Amino acid sequence: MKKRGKSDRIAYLYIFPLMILSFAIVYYCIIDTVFVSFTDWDGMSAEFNIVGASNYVKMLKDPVFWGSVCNNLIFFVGTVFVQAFIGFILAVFLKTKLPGTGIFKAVYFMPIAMATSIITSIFKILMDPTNGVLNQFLRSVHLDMFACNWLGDPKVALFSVILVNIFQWMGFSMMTYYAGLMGLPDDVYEAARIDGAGFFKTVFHITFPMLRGTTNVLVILGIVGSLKTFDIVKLLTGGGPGRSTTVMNTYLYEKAFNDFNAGGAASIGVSILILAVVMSFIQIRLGEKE
Amino acid sequence: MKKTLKRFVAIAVSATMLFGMTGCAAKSQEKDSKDTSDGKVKLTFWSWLPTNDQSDEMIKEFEKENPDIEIEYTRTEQDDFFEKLQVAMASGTGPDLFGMTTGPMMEQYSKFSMDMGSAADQYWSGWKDKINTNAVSQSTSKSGTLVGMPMLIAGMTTLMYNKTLMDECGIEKVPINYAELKDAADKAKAKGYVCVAAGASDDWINTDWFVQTSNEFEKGAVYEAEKGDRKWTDKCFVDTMNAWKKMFDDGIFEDGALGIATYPDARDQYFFARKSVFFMTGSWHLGPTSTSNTEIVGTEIGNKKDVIGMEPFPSVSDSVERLGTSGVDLMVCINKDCKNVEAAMKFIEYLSDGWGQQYWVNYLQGSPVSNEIKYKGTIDGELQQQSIDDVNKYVADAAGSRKLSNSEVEKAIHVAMQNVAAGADPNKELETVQQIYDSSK
Repeated sequence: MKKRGKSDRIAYLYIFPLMILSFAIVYYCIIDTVFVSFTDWDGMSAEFNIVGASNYVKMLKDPVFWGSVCNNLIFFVGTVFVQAFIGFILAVFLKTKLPGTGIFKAVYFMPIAMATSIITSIFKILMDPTNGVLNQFLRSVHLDMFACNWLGDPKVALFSVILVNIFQWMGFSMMTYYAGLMGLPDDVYEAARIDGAGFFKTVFHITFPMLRGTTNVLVILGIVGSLKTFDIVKLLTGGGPGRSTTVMNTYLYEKAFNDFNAGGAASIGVSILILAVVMSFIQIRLGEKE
Repeated sequence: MKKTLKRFVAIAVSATMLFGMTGCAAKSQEKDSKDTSDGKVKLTFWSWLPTNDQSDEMIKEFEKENPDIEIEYTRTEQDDFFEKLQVAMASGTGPDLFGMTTGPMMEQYSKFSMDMGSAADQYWSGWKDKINTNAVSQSTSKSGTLVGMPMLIAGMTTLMYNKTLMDECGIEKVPINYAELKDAADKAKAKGYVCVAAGASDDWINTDWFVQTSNEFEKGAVYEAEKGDRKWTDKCFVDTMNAWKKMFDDGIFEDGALGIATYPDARDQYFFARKSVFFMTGSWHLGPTSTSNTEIVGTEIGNKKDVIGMEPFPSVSDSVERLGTSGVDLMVCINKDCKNVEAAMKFIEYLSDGWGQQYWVNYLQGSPVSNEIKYKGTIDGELQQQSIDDVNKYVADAAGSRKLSNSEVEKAIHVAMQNVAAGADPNKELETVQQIYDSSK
């Protein structure tokens, strides 16, 4: 018993630095953000007043906040499911080991290794309505009706941002599914082939259900990732035109750095945290039920 | 023995990490040491101006004039500058001197800045006679403190034009009113060019345009609305919004202008790339009117040796008068924690009324704040002298200040302008601006 206690102490000693770091970097910041959300701090001065829940009341009455929540949800649905679906299809094709699959794997994965600022700069040029390659290509193949103001039309801009995000993160879904596919037993496919299942039947009735765990992980990561979305929106559209691409994090940034309203920004930060926890919890419960 | 060694390593690692953390804190607190080992006074200076092209020469010359002072300059692009400054100021690690804009930013940073009026009275005799009174007034906070010393004045809105392309399109003169602008747009379009390259995704240029144009419809109304003496829903503002919408509907601006930034997109991908005849900007951008300007070297307009000029933006109201706005483009503040105010004031004097000011003015970075300094650079562009004269007159005759002092209202106007351009009702959008104004009071 004595020995056990001693080894516990050593174990605690090992994790002590990490606990200190975690507290200093993560938990202290969360606690501080919650505290700031109840103040009128401007983000700079030493002085502030406790204002109770007024930041939350203002936030809940603010149509821009609700617009940004709505944009986050559209972004989540548009990104996570489409990205997972494309990633899944690519992983299935790559598993067939056709010639050149290694190269394709690297090509699809490459955008993840690229800085968001580079990707957004390239897409801004590609999506330019007058000089951009995207519209020029569509016009050259007589698909003029699809040529549009990708980033300048409020009805289209959010979907353009989603498109760029899918391009950047599709490779991640692909690699995650690919890793999952590698762990599937071959005898199941053997049995399916004997039973006469075709390619699509095998993919959607065997492979996809067997990768449910992978899909769950991707959805949870997608929830967190979409709630964290900031850089891609900030760099592509800055939240505009109008408020059409403003998401919670760009609005938080605007409150903190443009309006010097750190209290208001913190209340948005806390709501993002709560949303992330709730949505992840729901997804985990749904996954367990299935 | 092995166990003891393991324990020792664990304790050592923990201790190193903890000391490392505290060590970092101590280091940041010590950063404010101002005197260098060779006895010179060292001043840290953060700003977006001077540019990298300008700073080497400007600082070298100052240090030559003042061998006992060393300037450590950190330049950051303006968009990122304020985030960097905000974090530094909040943590008490801000620089001795920092660049600033007028309006909401100045009000916010006034509590971190030394009273420039008192510092200048103490270390720079006669400064009040040397610096433009209007610029000083714009650099003064609502509480009456001179937050920083103005450095450069800029006017809005101007139209940079490519005379070579105008000739190619058959546009005989730079448009001065909306009818001529529309005619120019039709002619440019017929030749496959964009008329005006505009970065309408930027809040700063949109609100600048709104403030400037609303003065055309009713001089001074925008400043009255800012004080609460009239409504943002008044006719002159609706007219301004309608005029803005026409820019998009009549094809004056490029397609998708709402998704394009002024710098670098509209400038580089349209005007410098020879895809547009005009470029909407401000008076600070007179540089390309010189054929030897480094900014256009290697661009399409530079390679083709196009003739570039600048004029005030055409009047978009029925009035023929082109009424601009002007404002302090850059002011420099002294951190209230700065220990070497005398040295800091020498640098400020140099930038606002000395060799540094002359250098900036010759570089065409903006109009001078010094009453004693005029442009003395070489005139090497066909239209450069005319452009400088016209733009300087426009800035001098400005109807009022370029900036508003409420950042939430500025943002609301920008959002309303973008929504109107995309088809929303100007009246409803201005009602939203009014609501935001009311709630921000």
